[in-house]
Amino acid sequence: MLRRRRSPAWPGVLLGVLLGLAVAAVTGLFVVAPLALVHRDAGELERSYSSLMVGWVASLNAPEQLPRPSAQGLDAGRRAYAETCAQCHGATGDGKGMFGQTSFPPATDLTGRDARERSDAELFWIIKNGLGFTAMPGYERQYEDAEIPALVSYLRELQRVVR
Amino acid sequence: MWSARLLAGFVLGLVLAALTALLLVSPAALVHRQTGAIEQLYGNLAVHLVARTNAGSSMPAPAAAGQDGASGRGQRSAKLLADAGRNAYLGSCAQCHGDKGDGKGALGRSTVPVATDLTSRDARDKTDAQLFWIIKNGLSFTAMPGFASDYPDEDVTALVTYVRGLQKGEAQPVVVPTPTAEQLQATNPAGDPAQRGAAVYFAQNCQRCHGPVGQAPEELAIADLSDLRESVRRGRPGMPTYGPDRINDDQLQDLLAYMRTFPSNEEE
Repeated sequence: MLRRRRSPAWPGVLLGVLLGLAVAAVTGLFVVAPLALVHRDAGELERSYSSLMVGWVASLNAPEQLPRPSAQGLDAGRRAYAETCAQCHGATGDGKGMFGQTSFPPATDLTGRDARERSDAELFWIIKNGLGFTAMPGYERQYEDAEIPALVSYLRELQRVVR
Repeated sequence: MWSARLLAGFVLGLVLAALTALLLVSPAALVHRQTGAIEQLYGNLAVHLVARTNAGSSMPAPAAAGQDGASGRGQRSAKLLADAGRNAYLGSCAQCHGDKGDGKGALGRSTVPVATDLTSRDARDKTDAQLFWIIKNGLSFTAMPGFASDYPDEDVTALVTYVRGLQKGEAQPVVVPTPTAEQLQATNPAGDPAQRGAAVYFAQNCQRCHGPVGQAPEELAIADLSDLRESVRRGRPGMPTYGPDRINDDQLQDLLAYMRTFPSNEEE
């Protein structure tokens, strides 16, 4: 009798948690996702958050070391950049290529602080795998692993020469 | 008592869901590469919902057909309209959606989600107004850019018409030369004016329609440089407008320097 009077708290709380999770899932699928499709302007907080997440994911997945480059660094990198990166990331790496500012999230300014702070291995991983649900393609089909380090070197060159 | 526990649990559940979304779902989304059938279905549904809600009842009709060249952009002949759609598709769509619209462009299969197959049932089922809205506004968190600032409405209408042509197998793409290694090598944002101009030329995707050195077929060839500024700033049928935020005045000068090196423009 005594025990019944003080019934345990957890069934009620658990039911509430499940209910909360279900409501959140339905909201996510049918309200948040459609809203995301029409979302156009990122605030400061959203930008910091995404940059943090990209940095996190890149550092978790980046290889221990880069593969040995197959071609002379800068020249091969320059060609690859002009052919496949510049259309979004721009002539100077500032993110103002043809499609850079009209896609969302916009193309990263490769000469900005965030991009400078990423390690070579992190940039390598991002180029190879792309970033899902952004416009960044994964280039593993276009480029061999050994070709990507040249591209990374060229990005460093852009960061060095372009202010 | 019971309802208080239920409420506490509910709030806890919401907080848990928010944390999961922020710290697990979104990083997982960034590394997500393979789309299964259910996800594909759901994605299509979400896009459909959004397009249906936002699209008007019809897209703007093409400007009344006039004679070729009559009063610039306002009036266009059927040929000019068709060319505008074809050119805009070539420059802004084919890279991902492919020359045939099958979604197999050079980058179409490398993004997540992948480029839509424009000849699929799903794309066919979209109304003109829905396609018009998607092209203008883009779809965030996919690779689809919004082209509202690039093209006037009449070009977007021409694009939709061209996509319908692709779906019927009636569209006639134009073949433009692709850049050679030497041509790509000539780009350098820290080099001389022509090299800087080449970097701008490729970054703004000019080569897709005009060819790496301006030698594209027919009216896409770059032969006359006297109206370069006007063309770049105001666009042409099917050609995007480039404001100073994208090509500044210095870069425009560099572009000119690069185009002066084209075989058709070299000073005799």
